[in-house]
Amino acid sequence: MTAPGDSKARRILVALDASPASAAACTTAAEIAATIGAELIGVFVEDDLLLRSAELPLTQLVGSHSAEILPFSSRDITSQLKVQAERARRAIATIAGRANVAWSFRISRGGVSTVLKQAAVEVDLVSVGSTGWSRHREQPVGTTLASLFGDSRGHILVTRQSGQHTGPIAIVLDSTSPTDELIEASMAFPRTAQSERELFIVAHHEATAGEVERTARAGLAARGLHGKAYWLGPPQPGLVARSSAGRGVLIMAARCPVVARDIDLSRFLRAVACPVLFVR
Amino acid sequence: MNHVELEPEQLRRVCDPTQLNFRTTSDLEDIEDVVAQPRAVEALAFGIGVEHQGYNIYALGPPGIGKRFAVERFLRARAESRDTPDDWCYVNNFQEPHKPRCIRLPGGRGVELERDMEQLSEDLSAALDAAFASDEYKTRRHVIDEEFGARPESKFAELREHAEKRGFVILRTPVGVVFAPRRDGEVLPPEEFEKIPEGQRQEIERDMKELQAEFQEFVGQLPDWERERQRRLRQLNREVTHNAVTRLISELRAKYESFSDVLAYLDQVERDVVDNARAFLAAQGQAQAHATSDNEITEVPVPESLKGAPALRRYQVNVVVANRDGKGAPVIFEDHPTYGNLVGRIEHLSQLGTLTTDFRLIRPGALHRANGGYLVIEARQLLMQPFAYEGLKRALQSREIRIESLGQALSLVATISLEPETIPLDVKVVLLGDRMLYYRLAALDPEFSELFKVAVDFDDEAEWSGPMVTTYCRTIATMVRREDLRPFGRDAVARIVEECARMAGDQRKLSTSMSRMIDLLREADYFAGSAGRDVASKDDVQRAIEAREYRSNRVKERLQEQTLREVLMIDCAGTRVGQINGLSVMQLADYRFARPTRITARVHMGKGNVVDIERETELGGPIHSKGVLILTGFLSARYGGAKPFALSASLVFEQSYGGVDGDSASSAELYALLSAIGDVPLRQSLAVTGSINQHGDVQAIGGVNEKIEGFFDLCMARGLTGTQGVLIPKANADHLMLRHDVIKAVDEDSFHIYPIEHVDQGIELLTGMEAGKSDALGNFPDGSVNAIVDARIAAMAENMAKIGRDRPKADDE
Repeated sequence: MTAPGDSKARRILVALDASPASAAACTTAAEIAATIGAELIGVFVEDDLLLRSAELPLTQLVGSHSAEILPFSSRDITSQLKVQAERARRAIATIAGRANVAWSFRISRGGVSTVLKQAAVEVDLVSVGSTGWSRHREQPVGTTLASLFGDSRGHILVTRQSGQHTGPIAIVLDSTSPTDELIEASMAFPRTAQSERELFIVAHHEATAGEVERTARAGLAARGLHGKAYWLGPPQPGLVARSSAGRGVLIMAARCPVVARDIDLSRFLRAVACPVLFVR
Repeated sequence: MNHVELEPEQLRRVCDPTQLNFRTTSDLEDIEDVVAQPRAVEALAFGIGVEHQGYNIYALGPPGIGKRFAVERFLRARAESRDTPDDWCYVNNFQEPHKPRCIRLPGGRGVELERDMEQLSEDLSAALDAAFASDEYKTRRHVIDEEFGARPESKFAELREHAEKRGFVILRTPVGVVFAPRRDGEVLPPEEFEKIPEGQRQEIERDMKELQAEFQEFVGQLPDWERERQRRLRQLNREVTHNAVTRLISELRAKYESFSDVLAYLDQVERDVVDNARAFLAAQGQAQAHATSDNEITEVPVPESLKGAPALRRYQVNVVVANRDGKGAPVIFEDHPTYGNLVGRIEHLSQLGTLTTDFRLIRPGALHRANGGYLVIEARQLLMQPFAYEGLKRALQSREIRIESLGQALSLVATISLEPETIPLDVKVVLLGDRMLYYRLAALDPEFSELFKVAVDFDDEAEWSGPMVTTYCRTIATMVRREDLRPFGRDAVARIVEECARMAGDQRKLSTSMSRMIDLLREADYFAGSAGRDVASKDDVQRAIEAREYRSNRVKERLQEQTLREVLMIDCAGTRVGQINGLSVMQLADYRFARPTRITARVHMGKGNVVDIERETELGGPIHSKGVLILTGFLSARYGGAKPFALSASLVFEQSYGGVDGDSASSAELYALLSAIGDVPLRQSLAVTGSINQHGDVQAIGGVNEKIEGFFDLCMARGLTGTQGVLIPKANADHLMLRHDVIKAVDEDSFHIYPIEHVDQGIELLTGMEAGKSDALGNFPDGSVNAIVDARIAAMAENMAKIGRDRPKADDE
């Protein structure tokens, strides 16, 4: 995923669970796939922890909306997962069909993190959604995402559930960022028709920020782009996340100091308002 | 037995061109006044001047007399001096959208408000779009989202932590959450669970139920948190919207500060925009989509004003009455006065097969446009349109315009539709119509007289006087110029004046039918052009008159042809007992001509009744029957006296197969009866017209010119003998405006016109015998017609008496 015009076959993994969040992740991934000519690979994981818990005599299922105690057995959970897998398959078929991209879909059984980690090894980009308890907010895939950060060799796209993200592309930069790669990654989004990029620069000192800005502007100019720069001060996950409001996508390095610690990543993903592409 | 005969100069009044002090109509100035209608002019001035309710006007008179022209002239003159009425607009009623509100503004300000609201919509759209797209708004919204998003996450994290501390793992399924006992981060395998002692298992079960209860409580809180989040977001949206709206609307408030209706409306707009900020925000995108999709969906042209996003349409202003300041009161002529065209209507748009409407589709009627001024309607047109007259009366009575469909007005439909606020009505209505309609309305509709108190009666004739001729000449000149015709020479004008008298059928009157006059001018102009003349002459006018006659007289010619071939039997020479030439007038469209008709009478002994065969066969009208009864009365009184009137008679219009009405033939019928009774032959070279009374006086009739010309044409065709002529009532002598060929024949003593006052004069002319005047004892001179008739009647009476005397004897035998 270095250049949209590169003819090398590419693969994008989409973690599907039939939720609106994973559908949103799939849609964003399909847009990118259409732009760079990649194939979508949908994976639905049947969580073996769930299946095992259903065999316990005491366990009960509490409805996440109704709060009612619901029937819970191996048969019930198998049926539910089957239904969910079918919904996920239909979702990727529809989305990929609409974007006119190649796609495949598979169902794997095991631990979610384990399965995705294994699958991520073979792809250039992993697109995951997020879900949560609030009916409008999503919870980042905490442990799964953390393990993907550790083991995946490709980029990771985290897409939120709600809204259409049609705003400008923002790139988070610091003095250690692979500026060229981040700018290049931004070309993968269909919004490349917009020639402006927003540059969110995190740096303790203004002089450093100025240097980062100059480098970035040169990179943009080399691609016929121009940018609007904002100095956000030292790396603060909350501030960067709030600044993402109204943006179409946020692009940042996976090692960006904003998300350097797991707790920062968690806080950041909880607050961010648009899809985030972590570039490795 | 010298009988008075009319002289040629009595047969037509001539307008002497040499008395007209101009060469052509180009020398005359235009006349702007309404001519020859002093009564109508005074009534119009009165009717227009009185401002009270019910003083509406009915202008009555025959068509083509210039009612519309006169009314328009008066109304326009009056309207110019009056204030320009206010504008009326319909706007959305935000509380009750099906009851649009109306706003009154000074003339010209309605359109201004419409533009201002359009601009406000655009400005609001842009301002709100900017406000909601601003980083400030997005960040504040994001903060709210984050705050309320963190709350359940945090709570769930607590729950998860609590569960973990108690040895449980929380697993999520597609439909809910499962609490499972764990060991080393994994779900406890079932076989391991089985090994746990019963007491410990009960403890696990209790813990799990507690955790489930905790989770249930947590889930129960989610809707409350969501409601709270929505409330905060709404509050934020209102705040952002309010800031954007208030500034823009305050400019309009300042502009319309003296109009409380507008201020109230702007308050409502502000509240509505704030309440519907999000819908308003989306409008920009919709506007473009609707601009194209409306047409595609409805497949009908949609006015520009109806396009746009639905969220923005509600703030549009529908100006139903727009007046330009300073132009005065409106004068509206509604030539198609349907119910909807009068009181206004509510249109609908078809969208995907459904009819929809709103306040923007309210269409004004003539009453709206004329409000504050004058409305002119043709009465016949009004009455021909279903419920239009009722709708007009209702509006005039209530003094307000209520727009409702006929279905609503008649309670025929119960579907929800618009009920626009009523608009106060201040209008003067002028109905134009004929007299018959006026009198019928007045007789049959009690409300009519209350609502149309002023009758403007247009005269169809004017006095033929010197000043009036001057006025007519100027009127002709004005029409010539207005119609862009070539100038008319004074001889042509004089001929037209004479034709006006002919149209009036009176030597002392001129017809006021302006439409006939204009037609004659146009047609004469055509012939002048054909002849290559720059100035229309008398010959052109004459040719136009003759051409018009020729175009119309096919039936007349066919009838005359049949008469000449003696299919229709009319004698123009010789004598005959009990037979006379009557004259009847036929009207076909606007062409009138006379047809000579043979009237015959037969008598026999009887009981004194005269059988009117026309009446018996139901071909005779009531006035004709009346004439026959009158002549019967005359006969009985003159010849019956002390002796019984022992004869019966029958009268008939020979070869008449259509209806006969009028009493103009009653004198002819009397002559025929007297001839038949007395066995006295009548001259067939004469034709007779005139009605009689019971004293034998001959009374005036209509169509005298056509009647004389009708018999003259027949005689002329057969060859004038010098004995032929027509007996007319003396009272009609003033009505003669005969053709020049008739006058020429009279002048050459080839044709005669006799003015008759009494039937005795007529019978002498027809029989060549003395009529005979009765002496003190009631006896007539021997040899007179009356004596012969009296004797015959006496003989019949004697015979009747004899038969009466003989019959009992026969019975005795």
